[in-house]
Amino acid sequence: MELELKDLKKTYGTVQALKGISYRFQPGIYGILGANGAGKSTMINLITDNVARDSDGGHIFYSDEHICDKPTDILKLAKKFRAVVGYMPQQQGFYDDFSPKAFLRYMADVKGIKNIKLPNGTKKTVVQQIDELLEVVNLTSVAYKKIGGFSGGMKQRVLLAQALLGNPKILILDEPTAGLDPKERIGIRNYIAELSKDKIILFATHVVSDIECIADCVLLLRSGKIIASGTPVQLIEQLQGKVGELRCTLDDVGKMQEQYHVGNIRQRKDGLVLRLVGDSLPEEATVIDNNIDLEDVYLYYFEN
Amino acid sequence: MQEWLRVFRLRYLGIIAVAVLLNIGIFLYGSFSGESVAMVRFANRTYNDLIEHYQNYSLQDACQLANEDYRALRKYKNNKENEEMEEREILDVYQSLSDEEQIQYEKQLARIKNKLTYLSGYRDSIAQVFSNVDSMKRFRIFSNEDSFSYNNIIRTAQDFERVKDNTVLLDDDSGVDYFLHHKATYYFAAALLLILIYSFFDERDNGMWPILHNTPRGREVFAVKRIGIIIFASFSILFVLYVSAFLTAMFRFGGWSSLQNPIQTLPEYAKFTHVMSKGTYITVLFLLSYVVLCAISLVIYSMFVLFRNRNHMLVFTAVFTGGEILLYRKIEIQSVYNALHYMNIVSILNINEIYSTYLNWGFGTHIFSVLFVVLFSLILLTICLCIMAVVRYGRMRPVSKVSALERILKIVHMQYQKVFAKEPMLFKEIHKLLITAKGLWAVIALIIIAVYFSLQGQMIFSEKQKEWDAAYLTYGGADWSYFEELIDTQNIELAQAEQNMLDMEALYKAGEISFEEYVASTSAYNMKKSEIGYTKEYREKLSYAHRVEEKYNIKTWLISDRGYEEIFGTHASQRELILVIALTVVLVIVLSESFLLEYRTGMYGIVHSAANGRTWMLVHKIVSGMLLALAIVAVVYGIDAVNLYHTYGTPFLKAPLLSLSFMYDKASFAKYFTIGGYLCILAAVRIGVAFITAAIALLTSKMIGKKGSRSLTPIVIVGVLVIIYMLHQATGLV
Repeated sequence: MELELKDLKKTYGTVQALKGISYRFQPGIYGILGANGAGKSTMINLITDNVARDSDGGHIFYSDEHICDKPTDILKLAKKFRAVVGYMPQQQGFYDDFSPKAFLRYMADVKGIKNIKLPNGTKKTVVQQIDELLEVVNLTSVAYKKIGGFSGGMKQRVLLAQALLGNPKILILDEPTAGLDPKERIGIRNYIAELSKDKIILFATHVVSDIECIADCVLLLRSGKIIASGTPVQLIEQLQGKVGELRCTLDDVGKMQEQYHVGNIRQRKDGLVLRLVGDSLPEEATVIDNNIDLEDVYLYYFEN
Repeated sequence: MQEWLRVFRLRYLGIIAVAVLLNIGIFLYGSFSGESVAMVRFANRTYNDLIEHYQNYSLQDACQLANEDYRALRKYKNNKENEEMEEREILDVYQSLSDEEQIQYEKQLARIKNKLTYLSGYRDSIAQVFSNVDSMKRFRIFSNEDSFSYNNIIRTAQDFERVKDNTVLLDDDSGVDYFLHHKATYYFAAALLLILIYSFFDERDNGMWPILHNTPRGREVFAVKRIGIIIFASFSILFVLYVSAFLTAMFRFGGWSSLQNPIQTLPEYAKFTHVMSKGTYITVLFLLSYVVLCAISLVIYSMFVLFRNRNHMLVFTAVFTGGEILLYRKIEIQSVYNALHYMNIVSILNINEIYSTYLNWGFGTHIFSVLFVVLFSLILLTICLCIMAVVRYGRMRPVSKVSALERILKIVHMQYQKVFAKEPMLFKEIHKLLITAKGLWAVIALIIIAVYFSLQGQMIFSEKQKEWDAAYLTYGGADWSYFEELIDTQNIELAQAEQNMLDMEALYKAGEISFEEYVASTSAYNMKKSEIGYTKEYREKLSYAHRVEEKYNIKTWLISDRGYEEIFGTHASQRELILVIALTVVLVIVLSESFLLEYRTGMYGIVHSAANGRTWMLVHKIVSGMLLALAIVAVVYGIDAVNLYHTYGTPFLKAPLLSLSFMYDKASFAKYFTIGGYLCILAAVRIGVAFITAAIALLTSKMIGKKGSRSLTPIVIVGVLVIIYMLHQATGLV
């Protein structure tokens, strides 16, 4: 199974949101990092066919032994492709007067989800699939309550549940952990990590820690282009010699921020410690090689 | 200012505009009373001519003359007395009119007669009040100076002293009369203010409440600001509705000059004890109505503040209003519980009823008019509730524990969801249109309109017409023999009576019989002639039937036109028009949400990217939209049909459609159908029009999609109405 983006472009009026993205996705978790306006949502909208491709806007190919013999444009596959996609958008959209149960039943119909035949010959009905999903996202106790009365985190879990309906092969999650508390975030992260064996999971986020542990590959998007990609380890290794720490007083922080890219400011017993990221570091800074994380990578590429 | 701009946005102004148009439409519809435009014009002209005629006399003389004219007219019609026909100008005019015009003429003459009877007796009625005062004071039970009865008598005399020398005159005040009877203005104003008040509390549903509550001016100051908006909005909204209705009345009926005449020229104001012209009365009434409307709005606003959930308050308002309407209708003015009739939202909204009524309440030596009591109580209640509301609004926190009512509603909703979750997609799509998109409110409003208009403006048939209709039911149908024999017998008897009269004349001239015997033969002849006048409609029907048989080789049935003329004839056109417009508006409003809802709720992305989220979804939306349209049409026209059936009935459904003489103009089409068949075609056409409307609404919803908003809905409505009009012109069926 493979999803390939080939020279993907998209222009809105005079603004070019995507400037020719090419990438090949295979089963695994792909973290997509980028600031607002980087083109993440546009790329996702093109993959989910929620926005029309420009006439010279490139191609998106999908190959799957169950659906097509060779890589085929997703627009040609149409319904067959959409049947394998689970999409969780960033914006929380619901029918407020529906309960999670009613909403998932509704989405199951819209997705054309049918009863599943199990290897032992029994059937898992749509209702059973829904009940299991509600259990996974911890919403069984509120299955018949109005979604309109839910907290942001609960609504997020409903959205995730509908994306997981039908066991999709491609899972597109746009800020899936927004509004969740730390425990819920970890839970969702771990669940997604378990799914990744036979799925292509695109995980778009601002929160680096969400993908740090689980992403097989990270794509950094800026101004409609992929500016870097690789495994977290590879990206971190590229930052050797570009991350440093510097102790200073509060009065010096402003001066440092003007001259260098300051990542974090931490309070220690003997003063402030600035984490600096960049091609050039002050002489007095201590270069860090062992303790670089993905956040430093993010700062390097997006603040530089 | 910002809060004012937030609530008075374009959409709300559009609703006000629609309300103004509807108010004018209802006024005109009511003033037509189911008559055709030509007949209404004739009625107006007749009334004006009669006023001009009788204005040349003093009130007493005019009254006497009008009564005599009316008696003469009735005599001419019935010819029951053996007297010579009088020579009267009225009768000359009457004789030259068609049957329908004669009915109108008699109606207008009766109106003038009754008016003149009242006007000529006005001074006497006022004098009678003083005479009653004097005589009642002599009774022991009324002579206790500390009792309410005694003091009320004194007060009555004092009040009527003001109008002792008031002069009334005959004028054309139909416009003012209809305007003062038109209550819909106040109901529309109240509804618009309810919408305004409801929108004040958007913050409780859209998450803004905590933000507002946390600002320096987001508590008591905010509540006071909203009170100010209500005070100003009440004036503006009522002014627009009131003035537009008044201008409509005056342009419809005329009579601008009557505005300077005393209000007491209208019979309903006989007991009004202030000397006031109609123009001044209308102005004062506006101010009173404004005070009342403003006060009621502030009371409702205060209740909304006190109720945490605005939808619960809305339901409570509806239930309370329903209860008030019931009390208003059931409690008679003469009842000991008449306080509940007057201290009632229906009465108070239509303050004119209280203002024009002379009624005092009080205890002992303290006498107050009912108007004063009502206004005082209302204003006191308003002030108290407003103070409570301001304080409460400042102190009520956005977060609180769930009330008992909310707990119950949650349980009910959960049980519904258990059933709803299992329902198929079509049902869910209909649910989305009615519940999620709140289209149910529009449907409820449509049902109210359907019930109202199918009950209003129904024709009242004269006794003679009812007798004819009964004869058709008993003897009519495919067999013409009864009527043919009746007419033949009449003709023979008339001929015999005529011959007898001529013979008698000859004998009288020869001196062989007395004058009385001769007169008797003449009377007998005249009686036979009047019997023929009575069967004029049967003769015309038979003549028509023969004509149709000759031309189209169709044997029509002898049946009454009247009921069917109301159901689908010329008299049905206004009712049909209003129902079509209302149906179109509601179908477009409800169904245009079909695709817009996905964008508004943010569901578009998920649905559109799902396997069945396109064609399959489209089919389901179209089918559910059509099913809903069918259901709405069935409900609306079903209500209409049931009411019409109960009023007029639908006899002789198997009769050829051409049996109805008003269908003769459409003979090229009508000759193929029976009445029952035509009713089926009409039903099919209505369903077809509803489907066309639904299709257009769904199509525009799909096309507009993300770009569009509800502000395009009025354009769609107008477009659909244009198409319907074109269909009407082309086929005459719609």
